[in-house]
Amino acid sequence: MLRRITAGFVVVVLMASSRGFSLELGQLAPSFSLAPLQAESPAQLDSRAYRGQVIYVDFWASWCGPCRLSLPQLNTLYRDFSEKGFAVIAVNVDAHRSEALKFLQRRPVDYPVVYDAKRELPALFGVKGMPTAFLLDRQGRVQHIHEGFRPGDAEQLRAMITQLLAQEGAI
Amino acid sequence: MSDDANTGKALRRLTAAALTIPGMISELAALAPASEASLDYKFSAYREADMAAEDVAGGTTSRYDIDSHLLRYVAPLGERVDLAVDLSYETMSGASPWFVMPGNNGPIQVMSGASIREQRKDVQVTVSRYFSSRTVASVVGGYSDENDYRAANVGLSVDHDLPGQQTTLSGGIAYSDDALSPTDGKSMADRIDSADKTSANVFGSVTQLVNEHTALQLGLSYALHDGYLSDPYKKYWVVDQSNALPDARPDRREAFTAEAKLRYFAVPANAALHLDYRYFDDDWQLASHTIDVAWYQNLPGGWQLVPSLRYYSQSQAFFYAPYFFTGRDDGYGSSDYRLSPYGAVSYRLALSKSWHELTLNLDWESYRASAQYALEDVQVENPALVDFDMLTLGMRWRWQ
Amino acid sequence: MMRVCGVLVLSVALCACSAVSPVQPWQRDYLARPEMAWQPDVQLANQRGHVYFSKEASSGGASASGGGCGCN
Repeated sequence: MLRRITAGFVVVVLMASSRGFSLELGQLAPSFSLAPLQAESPAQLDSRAYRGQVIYVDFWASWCGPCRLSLPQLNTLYRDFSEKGFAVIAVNVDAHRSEALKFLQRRPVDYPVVYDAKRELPALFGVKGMPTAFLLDRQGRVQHIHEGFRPGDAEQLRAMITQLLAQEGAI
Repeated sequence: MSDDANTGKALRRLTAAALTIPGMISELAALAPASEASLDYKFSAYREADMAAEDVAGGTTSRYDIDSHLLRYVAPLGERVDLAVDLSYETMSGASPWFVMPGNNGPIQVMSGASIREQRKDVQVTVSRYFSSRTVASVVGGYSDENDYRAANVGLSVDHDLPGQQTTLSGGIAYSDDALSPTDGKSMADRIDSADKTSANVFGSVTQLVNEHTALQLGLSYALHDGYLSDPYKKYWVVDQSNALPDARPDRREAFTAEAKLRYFAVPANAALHLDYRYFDDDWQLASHTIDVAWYQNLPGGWQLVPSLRYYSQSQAFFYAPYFFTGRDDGYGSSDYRLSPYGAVSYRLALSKSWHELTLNLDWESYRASAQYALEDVQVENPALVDFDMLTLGMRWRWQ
Repeated sequence: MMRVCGVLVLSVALCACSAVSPVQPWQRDYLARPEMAWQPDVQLANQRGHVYFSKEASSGGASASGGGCGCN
């Protein structure tokens, strides 16, 4: 258990440490490396491996009401766009990992889910509510901050993702 | 007297309770709209205990029974709007206290005659609009209908998260317009044909997150009731006239409440503690204290057990007496047990079991009132203080 | 009596607020639990509120958030 927690420790590669609190549109998102929630694979997920793709970094928890809506809908978006260069990295911030696993049993997703045991990443991104997601362009810049999740939001995201995918590749 | 005299008594004034707004922000964590629709149905059986034979001047000792069917539907309506609809249908039957006379061993109660059955229907619709993740406004409109009582109510409330989302400010106003028309008003000389009253209410509260396990809420409210506030089915006995006069109360009442509520999650026990206190004070010189403590114990397998305890104590209204030796100069008078000094203790136990979408629950409450439970010394106990038991069966379906 | 209560309520508030530590939006596991709501069962709370209201002289309350009927 202790090992797991240690493994889950956020190895944060700071891009702009002074930023601290709130990530703004146009800024480069910090990269991070975290252990997967489903601990079968001990290898850490490094967000830098996704560079050049359009990335949706989604902060969620099992106790968050709108997350019951957002995860299944994100999964649909992921299925539709993953082959075109769209990635979802879900960052779970549950205090108890078991509750997140129970949640995913009911609503399985295809995209990678990492577990932020120390709960440090949300502060680095400047999460203001649950769920909050950051849509990053191919350069890793924040193009959209999505707070909360309501019916109809998926369509709005679909349009944005389509647009970002059409843009130039990574530098 | 007419059979109709005792109808509708038990919940006569309850429509004003609809003044408060059944908002939908059920979670402490955030002002979040409903994520999915849910439907609740409950059946509750309310049974008042028989009165002690020695407290009653002949006639029936049995009192009120109420069966209630309650339906609540909550659903997201578009992206920023939630809807909640509450329906209730109640059937009431029984006898109710009429007036109190002096007896050899203290006051004795005269009950109204045999009862007839009466129904009450109530609908409340609440629409909440989320203006951002920080602000939500709710409007409520409702209507309640009984054989001899009709009430319409409207209300508005706003919740706003302060920056940092540690503190939520809430406030609202509500208004109710009630009309009563006693079913036998035209056949009894000293009973009114019809009457009206209005109630206006303004309230505000501050919710503060204290830490990861604790939240606190402090609230104040002010209400102004105006119009016919007497009980047309009650009388009070005046000894020197050897006569029972109609219940007569001031036609205006101002009430103030202060509330404090605490929620604490005990992680080791996997349980939540609820602690609620309310102070009530009005210009009828009536004050009360209410303390409510509940323990929500989560158990394995989706079970939850909730024991809770409520304590209530009130002082009397200035124009109340069990009976009067001589009429008051101001013309007011009431021997309604609800305006008498007493205390009450409620024990409750609730059990619920949740599956993914379905939750079943069972709730039992036992309420005992007595002058001995009052915080202050009571010289004469009103013989009509009520004891009741209430059993509620409920089910909830939440679409996921 | 009222003054006593005012002091009581105020002191509880002050005690609680002096121990306030900010709870970040992602740290609300416990606060978000349904049993931590001001009214976990709005329907039952309303029903009880009706009964107390019709049997006692007091009524009213000040909660708008938490699905509050506020009449408990």
